[in-house]
Amino acid sequence: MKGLILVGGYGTRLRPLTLSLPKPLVEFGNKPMILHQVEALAAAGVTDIVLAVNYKPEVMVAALKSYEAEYGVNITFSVEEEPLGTAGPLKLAEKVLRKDESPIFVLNSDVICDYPFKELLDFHQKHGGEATIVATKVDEPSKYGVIVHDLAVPNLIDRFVEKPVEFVGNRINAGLYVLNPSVIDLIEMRPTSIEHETFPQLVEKKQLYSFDLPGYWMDVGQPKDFLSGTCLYLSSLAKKESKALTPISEPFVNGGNVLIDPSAKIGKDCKIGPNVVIGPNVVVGDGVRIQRSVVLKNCQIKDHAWIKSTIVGWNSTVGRWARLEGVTVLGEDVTVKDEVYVNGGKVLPHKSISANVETPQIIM
Amino acid sequence: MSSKAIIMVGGDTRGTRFRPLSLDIAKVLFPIAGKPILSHIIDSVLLVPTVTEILLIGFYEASTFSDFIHDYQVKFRFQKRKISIKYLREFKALGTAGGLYHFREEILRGNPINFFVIHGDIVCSYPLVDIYNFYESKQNFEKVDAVIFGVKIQDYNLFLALNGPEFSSSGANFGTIVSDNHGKVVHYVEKPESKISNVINGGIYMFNERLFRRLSNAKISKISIANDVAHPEFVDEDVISLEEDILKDLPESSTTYVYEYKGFWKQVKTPSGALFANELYLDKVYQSRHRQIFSNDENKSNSASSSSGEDEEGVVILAKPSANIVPPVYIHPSCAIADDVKIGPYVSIGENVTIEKGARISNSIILPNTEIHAHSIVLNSIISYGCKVKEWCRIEGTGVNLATLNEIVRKGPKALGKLKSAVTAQQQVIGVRDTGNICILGSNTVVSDDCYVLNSFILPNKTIKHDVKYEIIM
Repeated sequence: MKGLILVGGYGTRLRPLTLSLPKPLVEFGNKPMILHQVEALAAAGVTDIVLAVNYKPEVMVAALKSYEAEYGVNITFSVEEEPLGTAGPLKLAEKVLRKDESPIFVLNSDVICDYPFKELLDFHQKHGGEATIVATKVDEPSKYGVIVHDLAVPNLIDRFVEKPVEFVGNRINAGLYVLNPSVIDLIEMRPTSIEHETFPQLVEKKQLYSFDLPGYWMDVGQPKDFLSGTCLYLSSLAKKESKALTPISEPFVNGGNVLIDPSAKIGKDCKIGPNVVIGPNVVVGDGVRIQRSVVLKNCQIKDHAWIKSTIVGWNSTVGRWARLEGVTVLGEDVTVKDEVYVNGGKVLPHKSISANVETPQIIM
Repeated sequence: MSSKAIIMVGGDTRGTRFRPLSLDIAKVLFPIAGKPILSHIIDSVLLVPTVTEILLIGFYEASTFSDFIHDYQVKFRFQKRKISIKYLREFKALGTAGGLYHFREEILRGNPINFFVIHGDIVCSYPLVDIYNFYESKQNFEKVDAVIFGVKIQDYNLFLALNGPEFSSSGANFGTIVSDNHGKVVHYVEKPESKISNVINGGIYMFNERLFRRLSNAKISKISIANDVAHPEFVDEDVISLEEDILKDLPESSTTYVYEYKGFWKQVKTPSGALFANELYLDKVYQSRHRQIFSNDENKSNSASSSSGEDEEGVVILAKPSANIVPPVYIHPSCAIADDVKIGPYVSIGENVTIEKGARISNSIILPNTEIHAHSIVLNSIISYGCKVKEWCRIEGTGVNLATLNEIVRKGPKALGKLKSAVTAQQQVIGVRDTGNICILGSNTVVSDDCYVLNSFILPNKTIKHDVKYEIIM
């Protein structure tokens, strides 16, 4: 079987992190984002994975090369000369995707969830239609394109309503699909949207079904959602009683949902959690308080620092009694000096912050 | 041959600019380096051997000072020297000299040959002995009516920035003194609009009994103005201003000298002024090398007065610098300070304060019986009595402290302008003048775990459960 991951461009929404590392390699829950997807696809029996990208940095090629061996999959890059939208990449990668008649998994690289590919495949094969959209329930459907089902045939999609004013349903397109290879015939070789051009044709043919996604779902393309997504992911791990989570019996763990790499060092009198990820080789000093945050690898968090709703980029240093909050994002190798307060600062790599940042702003 | 000292202590119907701290404590009793401003003054007065009586004049309730006066009376009882202390309450606010006139008989009882008049909100090194000697030395040549304590300003821009009001550009809001090269005052102007001299009135004077003739004259002219139906404004005949009604005329009608002083000086009008005064005072004690004695030095440990953290002359004994103490810092000997803390510079901590492990305190005043719990940080703030700052809190004024101010002044008018607009911005947000970008917790404030209080004033007895930024919490 085959899978296509829509990676796209420079991941500018996740800057300043993506100034140092391509978005698919940014660690989510201490694992590169794309690895979550590669793992899940491999586990579902996928052998060929195509990455649809606008640019192909060396570091990404090298990383995925290593996954090929580890997970026994072939990974190819399909590089777009110009952005081809969400459907164009399928056409571009036709050669690989049509090499046999097995269905194709398509997923947006920004989406995190439990990736129920096996159940999805069963569902797809059972209904016999050409394509299946994974649907997730949302609280405010008025902000999205909402799926409306056929009254007679279960799960058959009747139409989409863009940003409905009146309630027509609360299921939206989760950005994951299973397609039969025949769907590629509906796509022209030009920039085109799968949501707005391809799916309506399938709806017309009564060939498009939706599959309800169990569990959490989040588009983690920007820092705020990256943090929310991290909370959902950690909660899901906790629900599964994952051994990866740091046990609540540790004296510094507060409220659970804490994922700490075994190579990280935690000082005494710390209070960490809930919803915290701490990466490899991070050194956390004494009396540090961290909640709802992600600390990427090789960082140093000094004594008595206070961190909430913050992403601390690789190799950064947070000073003693510093306080970070309000979706602050430190890029790679940033230093926050002792006692400094940063609220919602987006700090570009290699900066040193020595004065308070009271209001959300970009620090060049 | 006896002298008296009269200290003008003000009252709580005035001095609203010291709120919210004035809800907890009379301004003159506010501790600078752990000791009330009034005690600093009285202890300096006591160094002048001829003083036989100290009179506090103000319009607070008598109970405000009863404990304070009682403590001094007990102290005096054990001294050989005969000296008394008394509080005289004005029936209403009488201005800076109305009280002197009203209590003239009390003051002149026992025929003192001269007397100090001292404003109770001045913090400086109070060179009262030097002023007295200066007066005496001039007295050898001619009869001197008055000596004004003149503060010679070294850095005018810095002085303006320090002493506002609100960084006014049109000259300082102080009396200005012009003297000849013998120190004889030739001209006195109250609050001039332009800069005419580097010497300003420091709020301490020495007078002889002839002051009362001038006060009588001032009173008579007040009454005639007050009764003049043609006068456009209401004039209260009881109120006499020392500056407007007396000092202005001194150069022409008397022999007045100025004692020029070059040390630190700060009038405490607002809480941020108190923070500055604390900084200046601690700095002074730390800089004067011959006084470099620290509370845990062994040769001092058996001193009788070390339990209150002062030496024999009433100068506070600073905490010894260490890995945890960045000098200058004053910590009352009764405090419980954890090992793993960082305190200083410019911190004063009063009696029975608890500082838990991992706490950080800089440029702040902590009043008695307060607790700062683990890992919390306090910057540029005043924390009143009996407060509880719980774990991992941040209490912060973004701080106009002396170091930043000095740097700003050095950078020139542009940087000063920036500072002004930052301070003005806070004033507009929280609607208080002279905020100085500091944080104040009123007495018995509780700040819950993880909370951040930034540039805000918290009135007494409140519990803070959320972050507070640029607010007044009633």
